[in-house]
Amino acid sequence: MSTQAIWILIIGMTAVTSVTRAFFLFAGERVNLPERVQRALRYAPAAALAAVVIPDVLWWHNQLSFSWRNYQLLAATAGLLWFVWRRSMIETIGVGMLTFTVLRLWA
Amino acid sequence: MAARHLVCHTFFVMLNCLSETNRRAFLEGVRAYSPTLPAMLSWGLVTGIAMSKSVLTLPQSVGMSLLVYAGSSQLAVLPLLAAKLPIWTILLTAAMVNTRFVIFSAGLAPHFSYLGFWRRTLLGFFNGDIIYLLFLRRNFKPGYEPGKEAFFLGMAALAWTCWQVSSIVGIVLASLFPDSWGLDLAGTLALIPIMVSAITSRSVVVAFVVASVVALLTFSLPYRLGLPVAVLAALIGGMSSDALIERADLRRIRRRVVAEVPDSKAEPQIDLKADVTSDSDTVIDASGVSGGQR
Repeated sequence: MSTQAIWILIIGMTAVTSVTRAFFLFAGERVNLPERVQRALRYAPAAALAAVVIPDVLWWHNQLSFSWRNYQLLAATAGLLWFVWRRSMIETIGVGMLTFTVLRLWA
Repeated sequence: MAARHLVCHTFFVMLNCLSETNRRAFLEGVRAYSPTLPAMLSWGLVTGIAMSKSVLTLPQSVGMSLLVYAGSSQLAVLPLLAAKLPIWTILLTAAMVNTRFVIFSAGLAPHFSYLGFWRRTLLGFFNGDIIYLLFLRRNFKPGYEPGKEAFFLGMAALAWTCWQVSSIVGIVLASLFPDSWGLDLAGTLALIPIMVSAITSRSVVVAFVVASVVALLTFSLPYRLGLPVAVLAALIGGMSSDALIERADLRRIRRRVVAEVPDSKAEPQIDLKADVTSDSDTVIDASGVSGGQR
C-alpha cells in the first residue's frame, strides 16, 4: 500500500472512530435507532473481531493451518485458556508470547 | 526538567480556572480512572509495538495513535494492511469493531444533552470502554448535575495522556526487538480478551461462531471480501437467534398462562417477571463457548 493510501486510511479511521464514539451525542434526539438495529449492533464487535483474529491466527506459512505445527495457533490457544481462567489481559499476552517463544526456540 | 515544570504549571493554572466544584470533580475523575492505569499502559505499549512491527512507518504509527485513538480497531486493521486489502474493507472493519461505542454513546447522551454541539462531540471523542463503565458506576442523574462533565473530562484527560505516552513509547522501543521475536503476535493476543469479553449472550455466541466459520470459508475470496460477508452473516445469525429465543420465551409464557387458567387468582405478572430474568440467563459464561469453537 502506498504511503498516501495509508495516510488516507488513517484520516478515514479517525473519522470512523469519532463518528461511532460520539454517534448519539451529536445526533441528539433527532436520530432514534430502532430497538432491533440497536440489538444487532451488539453482535458486530465480537463478529468483526472473530473475522479478523481467527484467520490471522490460522494463517501460518502462507496457508490456513489447523495443525500442531502452527505455533501462532498454539500460542493464541494458550492465551485464550489463560484469559478464561485468570481474566487478565496482561497475563494473556505474556502467556501467549511465552508459549510462542518457547515453541520457536525449542520445538 | 524545565519542560516538566512548565507542563505542571500549565496544568495547575488550568485547574485554577475551574470552579471549586469542577476542580474537585476533575481530580476525582483522575482518581477514579487511576486503578486501571497498569492495564491501560500495557495495552498502549502492545499496540505501539504491534504498529511498529506492521507495514506502518514510524510517523504513520505515531499519527495513527494520536488521531485514531482506538486500540482495538487499530490492532484489528494491522493484519488487513499487511494483506493489502482495499481501504473501504479496512474502514468497514474498523467501524464494526467500534460499533460498541455507538451503544455507549446512547447511554451518555441523556447525561450531556444540555451541552452545545461541539462540547458533546468533544466528550464523545473520549468515550471508551473503561470510561463508560466507570461513568455509569457513579449513578449520575440524567440532565445537568454540577461536576458531572468535569468528572468525565478528568477520566478522559488521564486516559488519553497515558494511552498516547505508552503507545508512543511502544512504537519507539519496538525497533530494539528483532522481527523474529514475532512481537506482532502480541497485538493479536491483546484482541483475545476484548473478543471474549464481547461475548455476552447466547445470540452473540451464535454471531461469533457464524463470523468465524464464514470468515474461514470465504478466506480465499479476492480483496478478502469474506470479512464483510462474515460480519453480515453474523448479524443475520445473531438476529435470527434472538428471534428464536424470543419466540421460545413467548411460547413458554403462554404455556404457563394456559396451565394456570383453572386458578383464577393466577397473576400473569409472575410470568412476565420470569421472562425478564430469563434474559439474564442468556448471559452465559464465555469460557465454555470460545474454548470449544476452535
